[in-house]
Amino acid sequence: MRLVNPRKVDVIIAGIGGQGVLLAGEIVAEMFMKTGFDVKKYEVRGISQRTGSVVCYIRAATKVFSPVISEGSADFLVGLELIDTYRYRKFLKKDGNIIVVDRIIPFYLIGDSSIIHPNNLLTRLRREFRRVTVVNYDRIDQYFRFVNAVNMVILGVFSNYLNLDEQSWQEVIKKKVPHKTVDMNLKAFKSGRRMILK
Amino acid sequence: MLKRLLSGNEAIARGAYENGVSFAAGYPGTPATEIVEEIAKYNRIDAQWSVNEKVALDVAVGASLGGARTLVAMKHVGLNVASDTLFTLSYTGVNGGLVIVTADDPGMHSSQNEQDNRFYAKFAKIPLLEPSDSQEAKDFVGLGLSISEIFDTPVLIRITTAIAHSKSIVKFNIKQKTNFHNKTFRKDSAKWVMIPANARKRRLLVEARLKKLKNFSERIWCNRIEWGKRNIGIITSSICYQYAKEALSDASILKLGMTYPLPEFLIKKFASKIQDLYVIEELDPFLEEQVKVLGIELKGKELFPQTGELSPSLVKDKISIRGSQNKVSSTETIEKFPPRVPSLCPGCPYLGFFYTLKKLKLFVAGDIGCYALGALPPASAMHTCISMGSSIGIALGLEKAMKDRIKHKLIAVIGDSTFLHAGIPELIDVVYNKGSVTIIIFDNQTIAMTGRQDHPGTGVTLKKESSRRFDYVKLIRALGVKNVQVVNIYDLKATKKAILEETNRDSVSVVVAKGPCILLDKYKNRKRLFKVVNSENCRKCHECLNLGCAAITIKEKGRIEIDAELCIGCSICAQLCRYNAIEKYAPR
Ligand code: SF4
Ligand code: SF4
Repeated sequence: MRLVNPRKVDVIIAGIGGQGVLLAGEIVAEMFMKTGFDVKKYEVRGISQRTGSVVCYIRAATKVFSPVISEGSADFLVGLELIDTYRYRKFLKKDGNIIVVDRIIPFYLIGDSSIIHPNNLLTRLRREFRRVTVVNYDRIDQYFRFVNAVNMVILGVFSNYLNLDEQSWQEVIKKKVPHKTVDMNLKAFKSGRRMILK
Repeated sequence: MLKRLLSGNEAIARGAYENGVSFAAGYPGTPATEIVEEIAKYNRIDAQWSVNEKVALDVAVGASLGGARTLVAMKHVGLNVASDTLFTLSYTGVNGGLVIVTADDPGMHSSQNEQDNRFYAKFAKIPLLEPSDSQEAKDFVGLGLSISEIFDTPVLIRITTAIAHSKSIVKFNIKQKTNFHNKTFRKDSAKWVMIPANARKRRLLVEARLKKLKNFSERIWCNRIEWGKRNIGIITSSICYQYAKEALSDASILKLGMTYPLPEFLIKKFASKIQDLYVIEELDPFLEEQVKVLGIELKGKELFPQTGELSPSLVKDKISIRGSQNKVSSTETIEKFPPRVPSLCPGCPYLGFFYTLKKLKLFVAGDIGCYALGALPPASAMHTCISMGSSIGIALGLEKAMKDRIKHKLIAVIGDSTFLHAGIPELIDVVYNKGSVTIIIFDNQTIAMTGRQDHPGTGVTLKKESSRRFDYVKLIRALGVKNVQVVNIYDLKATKKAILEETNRDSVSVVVAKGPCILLDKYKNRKRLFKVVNSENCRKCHECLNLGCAAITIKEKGRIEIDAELCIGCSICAQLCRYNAIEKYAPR
């Protein structure tokens, strides 16, 4: 699969604080910049640091005005956590792509909790959208989970949807992640990029 | 040409650098924090966190008087604190250029109110600039400094969260001047000593300055008309300009970069050529009211909400391109999906403390910081939160009003930096007016909520130099408080004992509860010990869930599980479990 509309790409990355949503967004934005597009990026984080909802919008086009993506117009929704991916689905256009990890990070719940179950959420997502790619959390190497590099694995999976060469991805990752973690992050990215998904 | 993707805040810092700012100050506050933080990365610029926004502005005034080009940055409510200086600074004017950046927060992503700080410019009679992307954020710093020096006035730059935290492409000026000459310092009491006799004279100059600024705003490049079709015309500024461009691509737009004082002739000229005129702005009708006063008919707040953020879809929805109004948009279908309630970090030092407060059934006057989340379930153990430092005064007032009905059942909780920011005068008030309030100071060694900045209590400056470390106990004793205790906040029993002891006293007392924020770098590499539930001992009482630690969750059949990746091994849950079902284990 390649870029649906090469003149405009809108990407949303959703997850929770501490998962590296913002870093992933930073890398995607930088990649788009390399293509010569006009780029804008916006992030919304709540007051809580870890475990709060975080979402990042990245837009690329010949000319981008609003940094915020309108509902029903994103081309990609990349999710590091299932609940929050589900929450932001209204931004995706009907034939947009979802790439999501089937992990749930629970929170103190007010109200009906029956809906919060991975299979339930995935079924609902699939009912609404045709292009849903699920990355099984258990298939992600334990090591990457432990060092919080799941964001890079998913970025690797996502990278297959864009017409950008692996070399450039690696350069940008090297530039953006902390020095000491470059190797680990590159490995995580690679494992995602090579992951074979149904 | 060098191009970079910068946030509005980073761009302002770059603007400060390129335009010869040599001193900057501020106090952390979302969404403004990164401005001063980024400025501090430029070696050439002397930058500091001040203890609060008023101090930051005062120091900036001194720097300007001393000849330096100066920038101060703060969040919207911070300008309330600094406003005492601001209003009179308008009279004195400046020496070196002085720009004040206020970062407003429409939608209240991380704020206690949604005030529209553009009114401060009108109120204080100073010029106002509103950038609409990062390039302008950078350019307007230079423009602001020039205006400041030419018109002898402080200049207000107002950004919002959507400008501060969005990134867009910025062109760097590499051939910039490097030798900025500071203005010469001169003693001039007629200008700087605002006793009535002098102030009355300066007052007249302020009005004359406003007139000149009005003329200036007619010609300045940042106010411009982008002609499109003439049936729809939009007057707008800030991020709303971007929304209008996206939603209404063929409309004519009067884009205002300088929004106070307004260019009346330019506005009249624009309006006269337009069939249907609209003002698009977030929050209050600041532009709308001023344009209406000119006798111009337009639509604004009857279409757009006065609360929250706007968006391209909202603009499209309200203004149809054909010139006829759309149906009023269907009120958003309320998502039945439960929101992710913000919560303290797993292992946060406050978790156990609020758990204890809940058990003790105390009335808790709270303050501004991460600990405000203690007001949310499951603890629900904080009962007021208004402004920086107010917890202490509110507790005293409660005691004055309710006397024995609340005595011994009342405490105030306040963070370390919040205490230094505005809590000290309030504590003096308690001592002086013979209150018996118990005050808890959370010493978590950082300003956590805004992303972990240093403050006088950490003994490290913004430039990461070591400085004198503030001693709470000594200060509190010196203020006349006899009963001061220090406890380890992770020790549940000891904290409980201290709270009980102090609240039962008939005189004022302070407990300094120590426990570092878990996100601090120095604690990142500590050996993580996870606690897991020993399923044989666990009786499914679910007491641990009352802690509200995000790492502890309930699974099928009431089984408790601790998420190994979220748990930091703080041990609080193990301390409160009566059946020893939670225990240590070494990972892998
Ligand atoms: S030890 Fe218990 S309270 Fe502390 S972080 Fe782990 S699960 Fe949460
Ligand atoms: S950032 Fe620090 S102080 Fe704030 S909730 Fe997290 S651990 Fe607690």
